[in-house]
Amino acid sequence: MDTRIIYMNDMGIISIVTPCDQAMEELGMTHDAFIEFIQTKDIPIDTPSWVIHVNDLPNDWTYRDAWVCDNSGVISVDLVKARSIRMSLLKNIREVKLKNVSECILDCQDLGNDFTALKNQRLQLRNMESVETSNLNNLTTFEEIKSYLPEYLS
Amino acid sequence: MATGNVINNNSTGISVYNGSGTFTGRSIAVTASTGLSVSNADGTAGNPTLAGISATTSVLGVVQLATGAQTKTGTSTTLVPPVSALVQHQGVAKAWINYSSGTTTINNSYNVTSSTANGTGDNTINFTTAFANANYVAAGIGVANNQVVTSLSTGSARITTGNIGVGNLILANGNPSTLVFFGEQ
Repeated sequence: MDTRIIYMNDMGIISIVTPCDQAMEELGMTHDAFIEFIQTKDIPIDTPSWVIHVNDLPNDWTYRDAWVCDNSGVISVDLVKARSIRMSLLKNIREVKLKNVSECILDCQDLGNDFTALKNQRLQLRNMESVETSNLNNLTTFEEIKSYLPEYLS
Repeated sequence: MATGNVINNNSTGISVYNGSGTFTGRSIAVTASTGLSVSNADGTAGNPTLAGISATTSVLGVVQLATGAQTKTGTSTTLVPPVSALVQHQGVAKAWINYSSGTTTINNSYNVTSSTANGTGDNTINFTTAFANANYVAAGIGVANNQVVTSLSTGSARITTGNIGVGNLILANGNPSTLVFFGEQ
């Protein structure tokens, strides 16, 4: 079915409940009665929940762990969590680049070539987290955060 | 009455009125495969008796249905479980699901009312009929992901899915993930 139920969980993001068609048929319930049944049984007690259509969920699941909802059940992206997710993605890119640069430095050492520029690049990569945390904190919209990619990581 | 001779004239002890004013002798075959026995069939020592015999793996016969508790125990060699009680046997899966948490889709399931996506690689499976205790078994595999049990409670199971990295599990949604649950209900 296309119905989903969302609520804010104890991790500060939304949980998305998918009701099961087979169970609704087995229990012989109508759609509305089954949704009420799920809200009673499968959602923590005293937790507000909202019934939405599956198409109301954001399309980009990269930032799923930053999804929150307001008091009317409208989903948005928490910018603090989005920055944290973006930093994780940047770290993944950094790890690959750092490995490559380190290998290049070793090659230069073996061949007796100058590798000063590579050392500077490696230092920049190692300092990435502190520099980019500050840069990410200066971004104020989700669109800016999810598209942020410093040139040396591109 | 005059027709009494007609009734007594058949050796099987079973006569039927044929609708034309006469009685005709009929018989019941007694073989190992029919699962029936006829005693005193000639009627000379008393009324004929028709009795069922117990079914075996090679002989048809009368069976006794097992209760839900007896089906659950699963030790009887003579009782037969009704279809509705089969699921209570300890060796039968009590719930299963094939779902894709990344698209919040349940592809097929049994004894599951819903699945909850708590976050990336963090899902809860909610059962229609709860387990009797939390000491049940969860097993499963996913397409391009691994699964570990986070916690088990009688009414639900929380599962973590992800890809195995160097020394850790990198959280990822299973598309799909499959799970099966065994235990006592």
